[in-house]
Parts: sequence; C-alpha cells; structure tokens
Amino acid sequence: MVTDTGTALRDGALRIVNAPAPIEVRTGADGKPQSVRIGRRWRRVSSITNRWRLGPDEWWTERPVDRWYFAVRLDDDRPLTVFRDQVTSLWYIQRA
Amino acid sequence: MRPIACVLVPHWAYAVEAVRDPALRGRPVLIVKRDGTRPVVLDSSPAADVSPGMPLQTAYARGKNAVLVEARPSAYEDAWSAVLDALEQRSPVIEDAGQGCAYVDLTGLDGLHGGSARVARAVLDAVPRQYGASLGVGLGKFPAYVAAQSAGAGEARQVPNDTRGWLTFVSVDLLSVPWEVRDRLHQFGLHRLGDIAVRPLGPFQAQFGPDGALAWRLARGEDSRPVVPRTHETTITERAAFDEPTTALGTVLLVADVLLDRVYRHAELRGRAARAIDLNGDVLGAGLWRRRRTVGGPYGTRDTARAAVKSALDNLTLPGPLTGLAITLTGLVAAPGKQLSMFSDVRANEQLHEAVEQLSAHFGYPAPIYRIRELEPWSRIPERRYAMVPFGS
Repeated sequence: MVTDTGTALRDGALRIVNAPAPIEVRTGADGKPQSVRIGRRWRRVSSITNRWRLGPDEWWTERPVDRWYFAVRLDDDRPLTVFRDQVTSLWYIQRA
Repeated sequence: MRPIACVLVPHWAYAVEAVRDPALRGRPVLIVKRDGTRPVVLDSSPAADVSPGMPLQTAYARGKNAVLVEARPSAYEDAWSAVLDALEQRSPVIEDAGQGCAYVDLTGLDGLHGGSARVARAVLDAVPRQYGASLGVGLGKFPAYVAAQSAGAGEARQVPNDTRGWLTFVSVDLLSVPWEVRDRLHQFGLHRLGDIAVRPLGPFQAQFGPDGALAWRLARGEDSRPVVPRTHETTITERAAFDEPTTALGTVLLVADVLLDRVYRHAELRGRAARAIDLNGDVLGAGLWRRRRTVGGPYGTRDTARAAVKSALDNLTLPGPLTGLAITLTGLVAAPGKQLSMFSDVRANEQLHEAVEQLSAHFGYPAPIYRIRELEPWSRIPERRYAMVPFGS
C-alpha cells in the first residue's frame, strides 16, 4: 500500500476568480450610483452606460441572489461595474 | 497449535472519537449513523449500554444524558487500517477480524523478542495507547479472543494451560457463531461454555449443523482456524478536506480533478495503469458516501480516470454536504505500451512543475502561482464561474 501523503487540500486553497469586493457608493433619490469611493477619494459618476438585474435567483436558499448591476464611467473616464445587493443593500465592485 | 494473539478494542468507533475529543471519555456516548432516513447507533461508549444497530430513538430513551456524535466511518476505517499496519511491523501474519479486532500469529516471535511476555507487550505497544486496546494470547483464535475480552484496557492476558476448564464459566454470547445459534443455545438452557463442553458432539451437529460443531469445539478450547493474513493491494490515495461543507458539484468535481492530478503524479503509477477508482466522501450527518468506477479504455490513464470520475459525479444527488473527498486508485496493472506523440506537451508540463517547485524552494513557501479551473462557467453569477487552484497542488 502506498502511504497516504496526509496533505489535505484545504478548501481555502481554492481562490474564487472575480469575487465581489465591497465598495462605498453614494446614490441619488432614484437609487442610481452618483459617486464611488476609490481609495481615499470619492469619484463622481459621469455616466451610467448600462444597467441590468441579476435575479431574484435561488430565493429558496439562505443566500438568495438579487443584484442590480451598473456599468458606469467615472469623472476620470475610468469604466467600472458595481452592483447593489438587493438582499443586504450593500454595494460591491465586480467585473460582470 | 500455533500461539495467537487477539488485539481487541471493543468500541472502536467510540475509541476513535474519544481520542479526537477526550471530553467524551467516561460519558455515555452514542455514535449515530444516518442510514437512509432512520438514524441508528453505529457504536456507543461502554457507559451507554446500547447495542449497535439500535434505532437512535430507542437508544436515546435509555439514557437521555447521552452525547450524540455523528459517525465518521472513513475516519474509523483509516485509523483501523493504521493500527493493522502497525501490527504488521510486529508480525507478518495479521488477520483483520473487523474494526476493533485483529489476530496476530505469534509463531517464531519468541526468539525475536526474548520470551512470550515481551512478545505480548511488543504487540500491544504497536497499538496507540489512547485506544485502550487489550490483548489475549492463547493456542487458537477463540481462546485468545476470550482472554482479550477479560483483560482490561492496556492489559495482556495469557490463556492458562487448562483452556477448557478456564472457559467453563464463559458466556456462550462470546462464541463466534451466528447470533441465531447463540440465541437458540440460550433457549436450550445452555448459557455457559461449560454447558456445551460436557455434552457429546453429535446432538450439536445434528441441531445446528457446522455452526454447532464449531461451537462445541470452541467451548472445549479447540480452535484450529488459522490466522488468515490480510491481502495487500497497492492503492494510491489522495484526500481533500473542506473547511465549509459543500454540495456544489462544480466544486466537488474541481477538487476531484486536483486530487486526480496528485494521484497520477505518484511514482508508483509509473508504467502502471489503474483499473478502478474509489471516490469516498464524508457527508455531513450521513457518514460515508462511496462510489466505485471502473476506468474505461485500455490504458487507465488520467484522462480516462477523469471521465470515470465525471460520470460518477454527473447528475448525482449527494445525501448531504460533503466535508471531505478522497480518491483511491486500485487494481494497478502493468500499463500496455502506447505510441507517444512526438510533439507531446508532457515534457513542457514537467518543466513547468520543476520551475514552480524551484520557486517554492527559493521562497520557502508555496509559490503563488495558480491554474484557472472552470467551476460553473455557465453560471449567471460571475464569481461562480472560475476558481484559481495552486499550481502543483
């Protein structure tokens, strides 16, 4: 019998690609993003180029998915995609 | 007859759990296995006073203070296998009589260790002390088993010369015959081995057939059954533990893929092919989940193995979240020759592995180099599509 190496592959060894990262967003009365905090600075959203909804999905689980994505362009012309988690009301940045 | 030792840990599953969590010692503990929909007791502590196989509801009603522990069958199997391996360092002839019981042929070991007492101690010491194993030594498996039953944890007991007389007051419940036979012996009023030994063989053979004859011989201390050595099959196992239980088949398949990579890197597999793959999963609350797949195709290569694993996992409904996964290759045979491609990228892959290993050695920690693997590339949720796996894991 070959000795088991005993080295377990921990689940933590798997790194999710494109995991959402929390981000601070200021919104207008209509709920659309108006400015986004990048590092220490707040950058104004100059335009929203696209918006779409993902979900509601997997509503029967403990972690349902319901997001509003916004593809925006910042005042320095940088493109960015952010989404608002409709379940937790938190904002995240993520490549769609 | 040959001197035989019996190594006994009567409540093996409990012993393993008590090693994991010493707070369980001395308490009534029920090891629970969810068999289908009805939970049953797989094992218990001596203080619990229940029988294996008893429905949990009945067992729990007996002692409401009992601590419930979910069974981890693969852990018990692995631990027992390690004990057998350790015993094999003492004697080449070891019989696995089920988890918690093993027979050791002691023939010729006296000279090696300098006396039967030292042989017994050497065998007992092969079992980690915390399991509380007991040892019995006698001329035959049954006398050795009875001696081990009567010895305390960590003790060794030798069967006296008058084996038959010594067995007189032992209960027939210890006979290694089917329980129906033991039950009927009680119905006949034969509760002790002495009750059987004083009677002639004929009636027992007539009433119970071969089992009756065996019971009669065992009751007289005559046991010529040999120690049947373990058969060894070369197997290669790799395992993964999940920090968080998972039911996502994409993740399970990905981890299985990484495990296959590791399995097929074993030197023992060079020039050999596997005929079968065992997938063992530890299911939270449901014990062991097991699938065996025969590797298709003539070569049993990594690719055919991957296809076999994928077919085992496709359309599968797991009985619960997986907490661990192990892949074992068995049935290793000589690989038939095959034409290698002139432009194979195998060498390039090996060079890449070497480079990563050199980097890791240079840094002193695993090089942060990853492969991108598909999880659920069709998923609408972006973070579920791909994952990064450490290169070479």
